[in-house]
Parts: sequence; C-alpha cells; structure tokens
Amino acid sequence: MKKCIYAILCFFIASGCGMKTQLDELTLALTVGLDEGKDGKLLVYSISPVFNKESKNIYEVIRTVGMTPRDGRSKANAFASGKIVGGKAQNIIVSKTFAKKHDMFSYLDVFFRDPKNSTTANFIVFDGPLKELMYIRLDDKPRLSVAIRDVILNGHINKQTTKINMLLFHRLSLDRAQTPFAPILKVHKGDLVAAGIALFNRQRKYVGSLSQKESPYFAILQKNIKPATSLTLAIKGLTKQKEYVSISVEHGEFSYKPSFRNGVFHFDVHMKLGVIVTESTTYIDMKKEKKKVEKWLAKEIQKQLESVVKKLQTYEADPIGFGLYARAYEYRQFQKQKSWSKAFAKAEINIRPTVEIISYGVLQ
Amino acid sequence: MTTMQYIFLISGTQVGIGILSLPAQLADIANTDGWIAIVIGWVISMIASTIIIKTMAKHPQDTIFNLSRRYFGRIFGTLIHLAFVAYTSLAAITVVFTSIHITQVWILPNTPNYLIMMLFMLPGFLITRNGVRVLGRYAEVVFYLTLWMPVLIAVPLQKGTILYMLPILKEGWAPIFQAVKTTVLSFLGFELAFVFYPFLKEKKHGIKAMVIANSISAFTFLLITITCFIFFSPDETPSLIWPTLSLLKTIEFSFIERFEVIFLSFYLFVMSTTGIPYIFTTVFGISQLIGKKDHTIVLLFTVCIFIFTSFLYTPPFSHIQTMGSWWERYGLWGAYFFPIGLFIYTSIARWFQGGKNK
Repeated sequence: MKKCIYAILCFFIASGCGMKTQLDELTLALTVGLDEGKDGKLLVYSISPVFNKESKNIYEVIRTVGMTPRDGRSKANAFASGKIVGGKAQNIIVSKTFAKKHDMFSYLDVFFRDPKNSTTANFIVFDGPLKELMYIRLDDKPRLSVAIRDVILNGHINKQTTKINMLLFHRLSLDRAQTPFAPILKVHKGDLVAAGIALFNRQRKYVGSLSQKESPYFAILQKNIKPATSLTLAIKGLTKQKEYVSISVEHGEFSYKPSFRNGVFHFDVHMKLGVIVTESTTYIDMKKEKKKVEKWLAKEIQKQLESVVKKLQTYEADPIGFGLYARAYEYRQFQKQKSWSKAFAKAEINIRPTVEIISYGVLQ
Repeated sequence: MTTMQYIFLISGTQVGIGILSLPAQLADIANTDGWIAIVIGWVISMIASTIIIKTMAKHPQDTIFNLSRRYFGRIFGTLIHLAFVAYTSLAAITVVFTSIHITQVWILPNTPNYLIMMLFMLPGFLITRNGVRVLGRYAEVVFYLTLWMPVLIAVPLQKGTILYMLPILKEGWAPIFQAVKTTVLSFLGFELAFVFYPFLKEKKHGIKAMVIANSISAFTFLLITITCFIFFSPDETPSLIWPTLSLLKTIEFSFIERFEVIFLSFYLFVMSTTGIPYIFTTVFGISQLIGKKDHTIVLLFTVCIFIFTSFLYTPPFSHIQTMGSWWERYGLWGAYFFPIGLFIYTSIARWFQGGKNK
C-alpha cells in the first residue's frame, strides 16, 4: 500500500514536466509602453531581452496597435520569437500626450486584475512620443529596460525625480483624498534623463508637472528626506551680489495640522530641518552668523515650498496627501466636500520651516 | 487529545479561507473601523463557545449526535443529527471548492479542477482516516509550521500609513454593528466543539481552551485586517477580492518574485486544517447515523464523490460566493442560535428530570 502511494506521488510530481517552459524560449516583457498612435489608437510597445548568442541585439522591441494593453499583447504574440510573459515587467511607461487624454487608471486595469502581473513595476511618464525612447541606441548602457530603471531609481535617491510603483499608483488612484504622481523621463541629446514629476488629477489624467528643480522640495513635502536631500539656494542680502549656498538636508521633523475655518481648510505645516552646509560661494562667518544664516535658509526654503504647493493647488492635484490629514482630523468637513481636489485648491496652506545647521564642513 | 491539540484544532478550523477576504468585506461595511467589529465578534464567539462547552459538559462522553438523541428522542434526534451533518458537509464543500478556486486563480491557472481535487483529497484522506487524535496532532504541527506567516504579513506594515485608520468611529457605531454579522461568521469553526469536546482528555480545561482558541483566531484576524487597512487606502480595500493576498504581492526580494505564490502554497496547510475537521465531522456523523463504528468506508465514499464531482463541475466564482453565503446563513443558526437553544432546553430538561428523581 505504502509503495503504491509513493509511486502515485511520483507520478503527480512528474506531471509538471509536460508543460515546462524554458527561459530562453520566452519573451519576457520587461518594459511595457503605451502611446497614442494615429486615429486615437493605442500603440503598445514591449521591450524584452533576447537570450541568443547569434542575434545581434540584446533586446527586441515589439510594437503593436491594439484597443487595450492586453489586446496589444495578444497581437504581439504574432511577432515575438517566444511566448510573451508580462509578469516580469519592471517599467510601465506611458507617453505624456497619451496620459493627457485618457484616464490612466482604467487603461492600466490589466496590471492589477491579472494576478500574474507584477504590481511592483515602476510607473513612468515619458515626455515625447514613445518611439523616441523605444528605438534609442544606448551603446554605453546596459539593456534598455535596465537603463530606464536605473535612471529612475537613481533620480529618486538623489531627489531629482520620484518613483511610484503600480501598487502605489493603484492606491492613490482609488483614494479620494490623494492623487497619483509619476516620474518623468525624457530623451535629451540621445541620453535618458529624469525630468521632474508628472501630476495627475482626480480623473487620473495628466495635468501638469513639477520641474527637476522642484523635485527635492516635493520630496521634502512628502517627508522623504533620507538618505539626504541636497538643495542649492540663492541668497541675496548677505553681500550685494547674488550668492549661492548649497545645503544637504539630513533629517526633519514634520507636523501637518489641519483645521477648518470659514468654509476652507487650513493646514499649518511645521518642519524642523537639520542641514549640513556643503558649499558657499561667499564667505560667511559661520560662528557669528549661524542664526542669521539659518533664518535665511528657512525663508528661502519656505518660498520654494510655497511655490510648489501653489502649483499643486492650481492643478488641483494632491500627491502629497494633505487630504489624508483632513480626513483623519476633520472627518465631518472632509465628507461634506464633493471633491477633495476642489477643496484642496481653495485650502490655505501655511508652511513654516525652521532650519538648524548641524555642521558646515571642515572650513570655518 | 491534549488540551494544546484541542486548541489548535479549533483555532485551525476558524482561521481558513474567510481571512483572505475578511478585510475587504469589513472595509465595505464599516470602512477602517471594521477592526472594532472583530473585537465584538470575538466576545460573542467566546460566549457562544462557552455555552457549547457548558452544554456538552453535562454529558462529557457524548458528542452532539448522542446528545441530540438523548434529549430529543429518536425522530427529532435524528433530524438534528442530519441537520448538523448537512451543515458540516456544506462547510466542507465550500472550503474545498474555495481553496481550489483560489489555488487556480493565484497559482495554477492551467491545472484542471479534478487534478487539484485529487491532490487535496489524498492527504485529506490519510489524515481523516485515523480519527480525532491524528487530526489534533496534524492541527498542532500545522500551527507550528505556519508560525512565520503572521511575521511576514507584518512586513508591509512598515510602508503603511497609520493616518488611514483615523478617525476612529468615523460614522458612529451603526456600521460597526452591521459588520459584526460578518466577523461573527468568520469565527465559525468553534461549533465543532460539539463533536471534539468528548475527545478532550482534560475536560476541566474545556472553557479555557475555547477562550484561547478564539483569541488566537481573533489575534490573527486583527493583525491581518489592520495591516490591510494601514497598507491599502480606505477606498481601495473594498475593490479587492482577496486583499490579504494582494498585500503579499508587494513583498519582493531580489531573488524571488510573486511571494504570494509561496505564501499561498503554505497556506494550503491552513486551509486544510479548516476543511479536514469539517470533512471528518461529516463522515463521522454519517457513519454514526448508519451505525458503523469505523468511518473509513464512508470516508472513501465521500472522497470519491468529491473527486467525481470535480470532474463534472468546475464552480465559477459566483457559485462559490453563493456557497459561502449559504454556509454563513446556516452557520449563524448552527453555531450561535442552536447552542443557546440547546443549552436552555437541556437545562430545563435536566431540571425536570432532577425534580422527578427527588
């Protein structure tokens, strides 16, 4: 009896071998791109690595025209050298013009609905027609999919842009109190460049962007400072000329206090930033003028943060999540608002940063 | 059966397929306040299981099948017997088919129904054949085997936003009480004490064991629900069918992807500790009904029916949902109202008999 059972068990284990798939027979779509083609049709690009010694290119790009991403993939199977597998996608890229016209969330449904798809892929907006990116030749870089990912992740760490994976995009798209955002990628003189942050409105359509210069301030508002956020600020008044001071924000304490007065939301944002002075184009007597410099820095940072927030308000986009605070602490009023984006656009936001210089390097 | 095995057997039956979808159901009714409903459900289920033990303690050697005949006579006793068997078989069918469905959706989309059913039934048969003692041991082993899983679920907590939980009591108590109905049903499983209590070695620990078993389950439910509420945004959770699994999708290591596949493969153990006790109770009940001491033949027959059915019938998701709702409706009566009624009835009956004896 026992032997019989073992024999049957072996039989069951072996049953998997009939359907085996070998890695080099698959077409792994590591990057999926969506763009608008002629007559409003959807262009679906996919980049997959080629594991073949004889082929000249190390990756292949497939372009199909379809109604939806999944439809495009089905059609792409006709081109591909192997069965297309979408579960390994690392980047989902949409072009800006496409994102402007369509609700991104409904187009990306397949990535959430099919459990075989990875939800940790990065979502990226590309500035320009996607074919510019897809057929780029980067001789000094690794495979395109990897290169794209590296640019975005590196940009995120250095706060030159941000990153968002599909899961977070899903969460922000569905939450009433927030709106999604995404990093922008562009091709500049034959090179991949991270170029700021794309903002989406409540309808998940692209509405505007923050520049690369505003990205670190966006990160600060998101409380995302680690490992360090470096800023370069123009300081007047110390001497008569325009001088620059670079600082690196090392840590911060934040408090967002919402309140509701006279029909509008008020937010009191206090932040205490610990900074290291890394560069100064002019001589500052740090010992004597530390307090004064701290105040200047705080004022300059406040100006920048306020302009970023103003911009978000004009776009009616709340990627920072002010709505979360409103919902958590002013629930009744929050529920009364028909649309949080509209209420956010009208909200009064006071940002009061204070700066503390931890150190100023090895020079006096 | 030792007290430990008894505890794990009961809590193993409680924690099963329900927990995979519980956060979404709660969020749908009571938003992020749903966890309060779990606490209330926990208290209610503890009261109900205490009542079951109190009833069973009157005749420590009787299962519900003997008890019903003792108090209700042959005809009514058999009817109650049949109803209980029908209930547990409904539960067993629901658990088995739901497990298969989840396995198919998440892990094995190309594998046919009957093959998975066969793979489920083989170990199921081997464990159930040996009776309650092996069931208890199996439940204990599975408990230790799966201790790492709650730790893993807590990993996404670091990336969560606690602000989602505020304010507590958003819409007052009304939606919470509505949600209690759902949470009370997720504690289903303790009613098997009707069958397992006589096998417990140390009867004086009966109530304590039930409280501990319910608390283990409540802790698991709370952990998973709160993790889901903190991790997903409040408007997002109801849009998912199995939020617990979607949660695990996010865990990614550089050397492994789709961690939920591994988790779910292990979770089959947990689902088996829900399904097997119900299958056992069904088989045990039927063999008692036809007066057979050994339940192996009935079990073999049941397993064959399961496999045969799976050849002919692959339930779509809507049927599985219907099955689940039947089980829940029936379970509310079987596990909450019936024990209370039985307790009152037996107390009165004993009081009368006691009067006669004097």
